[in-house]
Parts: sequence; structure tokens; C-alpha cells
Amino acid sequence: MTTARDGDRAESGRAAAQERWTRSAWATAICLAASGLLAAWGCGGAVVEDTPVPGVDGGADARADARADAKQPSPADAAPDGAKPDAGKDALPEYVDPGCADVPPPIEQFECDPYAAVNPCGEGEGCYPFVDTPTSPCTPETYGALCHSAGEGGQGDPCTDGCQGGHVCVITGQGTQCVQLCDLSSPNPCPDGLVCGAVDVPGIGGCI
Amino acid sequence: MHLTRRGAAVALALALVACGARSGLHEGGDPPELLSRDGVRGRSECVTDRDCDADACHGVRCDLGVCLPPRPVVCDDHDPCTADACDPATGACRATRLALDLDRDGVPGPIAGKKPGEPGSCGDDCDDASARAFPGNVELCDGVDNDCNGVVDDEARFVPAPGEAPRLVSDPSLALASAGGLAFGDTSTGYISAYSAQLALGDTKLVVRELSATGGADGPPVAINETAGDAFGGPVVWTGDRYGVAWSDRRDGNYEIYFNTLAPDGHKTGPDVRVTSAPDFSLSPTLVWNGSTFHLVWQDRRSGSFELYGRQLSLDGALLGDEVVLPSAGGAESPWLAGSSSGLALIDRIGDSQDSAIELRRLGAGFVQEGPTLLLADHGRFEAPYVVKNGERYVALWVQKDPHRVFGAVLGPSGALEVPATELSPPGTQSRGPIALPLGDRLVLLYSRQSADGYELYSQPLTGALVADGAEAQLTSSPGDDFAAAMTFGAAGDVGVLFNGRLPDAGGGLKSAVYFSRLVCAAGK
Repeated sequence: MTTARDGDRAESGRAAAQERWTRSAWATAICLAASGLLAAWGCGGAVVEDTPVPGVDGGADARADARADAKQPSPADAAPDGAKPDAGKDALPEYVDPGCADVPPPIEQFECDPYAAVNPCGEGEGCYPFVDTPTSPCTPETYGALCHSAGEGGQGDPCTDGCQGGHVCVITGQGTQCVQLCDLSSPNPCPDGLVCGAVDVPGIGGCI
Repeated sequence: MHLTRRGAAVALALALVACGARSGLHEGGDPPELLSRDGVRGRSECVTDRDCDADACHGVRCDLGVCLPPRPVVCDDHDPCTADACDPATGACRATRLALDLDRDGVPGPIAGKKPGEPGSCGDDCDDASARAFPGNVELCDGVDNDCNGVVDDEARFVPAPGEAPRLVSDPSLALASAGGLAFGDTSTGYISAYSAQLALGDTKLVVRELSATGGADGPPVAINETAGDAFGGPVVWTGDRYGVAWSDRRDGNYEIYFNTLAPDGHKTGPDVRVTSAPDFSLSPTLVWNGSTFHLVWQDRRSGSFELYGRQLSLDGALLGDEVVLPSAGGAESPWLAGSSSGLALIDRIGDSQDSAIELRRLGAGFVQEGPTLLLADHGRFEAPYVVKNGERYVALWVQKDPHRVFGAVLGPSGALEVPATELSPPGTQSRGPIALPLGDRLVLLYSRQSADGYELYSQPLTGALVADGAEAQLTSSPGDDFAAAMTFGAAGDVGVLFNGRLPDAGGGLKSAVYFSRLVCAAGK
């Protein structure tokens, strides 16, 4: 199920997403977005993360490095209205908000529904949410869900062996861990003691 | 008077002689024989009692021109707490209380050498220097033993201000609201809250909102980051004339740490300061103002696994010095920083989701570590490390999972562990999300405990040694989960709490929302 709003952007984003899935076994480590529960909780909550898998070339770190390399824009590229970009880790002049008044909406790429009991994914696969963050200040993110071979990790397990279907790998301030997907609008959808917290993929919740 | 005429004449003559003696007319001659205060040396004639030259307390009186032998007035009211004395002018007894009521609260303190209320103390005011303390008084939260039962602020608990329901801080039209931080400026500025909320699909922004100190009208929400990409945060601290706020923000593709200062009304004072520029995620900023600089610590995965980094910023938000790596045994996350001008303490969690530890260290200027790193808990599943400076001590809190239980420990001024890991939540419960408000010699623990309707907020006063000190108070009672994010003193000793709760959504379900509640202290039974 793909619900991309913009055909070109969606295809482009889809290719990028497939690329990221190809390069890593797990396309997630999501940031959980409910800080109050855990005092210091990832990015205020939990972040869906690209989990590197041993032996697989190019995990999250490789991608992040590549993004970081690629994202160093020229001042003209990233600084409309004369704003200056950040100068890098050794010298960080004041960041000037570019003021993104007309950022396009996020690009949605749903190959499957992570909450559905039955999915179009192949045997041994699960449906996993993902997010591709914007690489410049005024471009939209791409998010959605893609089929991928299921891992072994259940609720609370480290993501090192991937996550079972119906789970997502998140950064929660407790190492990367697989958490069960949950419905954010339900009053108590999680196992005893756990709560449903939003992750940084729109509409996705995980039991923390 | 029953004098005869002859007697009166004699008495008058003698009186004149006596008067002459007092006036020196008889100098050089023999003084008349008069009655001394020590008793009778002789008899003198008299007209009135006063002619017998004795005060009324000696019982000497003139009867028929003759001073009769004394019959001293004995004053004793049989009250050991009074000093009894005879009034020489009138001969009446006067009882003066030995115990004084110096503070004029109507209850005397003990006499010297006695303790209040003990036998013979004659007074049971436990503090005769304070009119706010006396037996029978109503106990208040004022640091005084008002009712003199030996316990200061006994049964003190922080409860919602009477008549004030929790205030919805986040815009009800926004989704995914999540509390970040809370600071109190002064009574004119009130509080500043920081929270994240989804302003548009895929665009979660950091928002600050001014909150009235006393429950009045709140200011409008102000978005901090104006760029695309999610932002989460942020701790907020007050410096005396401005706020500092930090957050993580993925405007540039992966989460980086940003900082800015805010005017008392919550508006940014300048451009955002980008603190990190590194591969991979930089998350979970924690911020302290120590009176001269901001100290900022976060978790950063630039080198492959999460490590803790620190950076100082000036009052104006300028980056100072270099980034500092704060070494850990590996996989350090969830940092929380506390302290003041006298030093800092940093708590964090190391390990993976199954095997972790809670570590605490003290830091000096420039993030230089002072003393060893202490492992407060090891080989377990832990979350939510938190530390607060309480007087000269640091109180550490965390959660041990399976089931979720709140633990605490106290680090003494010397850096030694004074109170080892102690379970603070009621046994048999699922309890999470602890934070605390320091009171110097005591503290108030705020945490969430699971009930049939989800997690509810509770406050529990604790002694400095983490022993329950008074009654627990339930702060929320609503469908869904409530978790506190920040707590700080407000005006006149009340306490502001920013917490995550739930709000009914249009679809009949619940959506996350941020609330503010003002707590006041109630004491006594």
C-alpha cells in the first residue's frame, strides 16, 4: 500500500527507501517521542533507527556518515536570505533559521500496513515503519512502511538480531530495542507495565 | 480606728518625735526605739500602721497606738511554676509565672534547664521564639514545627492547589504533544514550559509557552524551531534574567543538539545555536545553569555507539571551549545533569536493553570528573536515571524493570554513597518516571504508578535519607497514562509540574497532551 501524495517525489523517495533497506537489514531505530515517561528519553522519546547488522555492509552509521558528508551544503544552498550554515564540528557559528515557510508535506511510502493482521509481505517478512529524515532544512521527510525479512527480537530485546513482525526498533535511551507496535489512541494497548509512546514516524506507536 | 482621745494625743506626740527622728531633729540624741524589719526590738507608739515603719508584708500593724508584733504574710499558691511574692504596698500576694511567653503566642516556653513539656518545665512551647509554633497550633508547610509534636511539617504533602484542575498546555488540536521542560522565572514572568508537538504531519516542533504563576491566563504557544524536521526537547533553566533551552532537532538529516536563550516572555533572543555537527544522532540534552555558564550534556553516536558529550555555553549562548567526551564503560545513554556553582553530578545508563547499569559521577568546572564513577545498580534492566542536588548532597533516582520499580540513592558531600540503592515505590506496584524536588533536608518524589486506568501521578515526601516522611498524595486521576517531565518551585513555595497526559480525541480515543498542575503544600492530619 503506497499512499504517496506526490508521484515524482514518492518514486524518488521510494528508491531511496529501498536503497536504505538494501543496505541494512533493519530500517529502523526510531525516536520515541514521549519524554515524560523516562525522564531522558532519546529525542524526547524514542527514535526509529536503522539498526546495523553485523556483517552487513553499511548500516545506520554508514548511511549517517554518508548523509553527513552529503549534507554539508554551500552557504548559498542552505542559507536563503543570507543565512549562514553551520560551519562544522570544529567551529559552530550561530545557526540562522532559514525560515521554512512552505515546506512540502512529508512523503508517504506505505508498501504495507504495519498494524494490519494480514499484509502483502512475503513469507518470513514483516511490515516495518521507517522514516527518512530531510537532508536539508526546508525539505520534507519521507516515512512509511516497507516489507522486510522478519528478525528475532521481541519486546525489549536488543535490535541486533532484528525485530519480529509487529515490532519496531527504537532508540529509547536504553540501547536500541524492539518494541511492540501499538495504537496511540487506545487507552491501554500494551502489556502490563508498559505504555504506548509515539515514535518519530507519524502515526506509529511503540510499547515502552 | 479605735483610738481613745488620750491615746490619740500620746500617739500624736510620739509620732512627732518619730517624724523628728526621720527628719534629723534628733541628731546627736538617742534614736527612738523603732520596729525593725527583722523583728521586734521594742515597742513604739503609733497612729497608723505606717508609723510602725514596716511594709504591709510583715503584718505589723498599729493597734491602739501600739505596734503589734509582726505576722508576716506568707505567699504560696502551691503552683511550682510561679514565683510568689508579697506586695509591700498592699500586703497582697502576687504570683509571677516562672516560664515566659517570649513570642507572645499564648503558650510559655519551659523554664531554664527544662525541656518543653517535661515535668517541672512549666511551659510546653517548643519554640518560644516563634509565634508560629505552639501546642495545638495547625501544622503548615513552613519549615516550622507548628503544632510542637516534634516533627517539622509533619504529614506534609504536595497536593493540587485547591480549586485548580490541571491546565492543558498543549494546543488540543495538535497531536503527539510531549512535555520537555519547565522553569520558573519570577512572579511577574511565571513559568516557561517547553514541549514538542506535531504542528503538521511529519513536522514536530519544539514549542514554549508562558504559564501564569498563579493560575491566571497563559501566554500563546511559540514555536522555537522554524525549520522542517522533528524537534524534541527540551530542558529549560532560568538564569535570573533569561531562560536557556536545549533540544534535539533533525532539520539537517539527523538529530543534532541546538540551544537558545529566551526572554522572560518566551521569545528567542537570537538565532539558534547549533551545538553539535556530527554523523548520526545527538539526543537527550540535559542542561544546568551554574550561575556563570550553561552546562549541556547529551548522548551522541558519532563514533558508533552512544557516548556522553558535554559543552559549556555563556549566558549569551556562545559556545565555550571544546566539546568534552565524558567516558563511560560503553553505551552511555539517558544522561541527566544536576548541580550548581559548587559542582555537578551526572547520572546515566550504560549497557543494552537487557543488561545495563546506572552510573553516577561528580563533575567540576569544565566537566572534569571528581572522584570515581559509582555504579548505583548493575546487571539489570534499568531506565530513567535522574539526579537532583539536595542541599550538599545528590539524590539519584532510577527505575528497575520487570516489574517497574523506583529506586533511589544518596551521594554525600564527600562523594561517598550515604544511602545505597533503596526501593522507593510501594512493593507490588508498577511505578515509573521518577523526578524529585529538593527541599534541602528533605525532598518530594514525584512518580507514576499503574492503576486500572493507566499510570497516575503521585507525590511522596521523603527524608534526606529517602525514608517516607508523610503521606503520599495522588495528583491525577484520569483515563490514560500520566507521567511528569519536570517540577520546579514557583511563587510563594508552591510547585509547578509539567506532565504528559491524555486528552480525548475526535475519534473517541485518546491523544497525548501536556498539562501543568500547581501544587501546594499541605501538612498535618
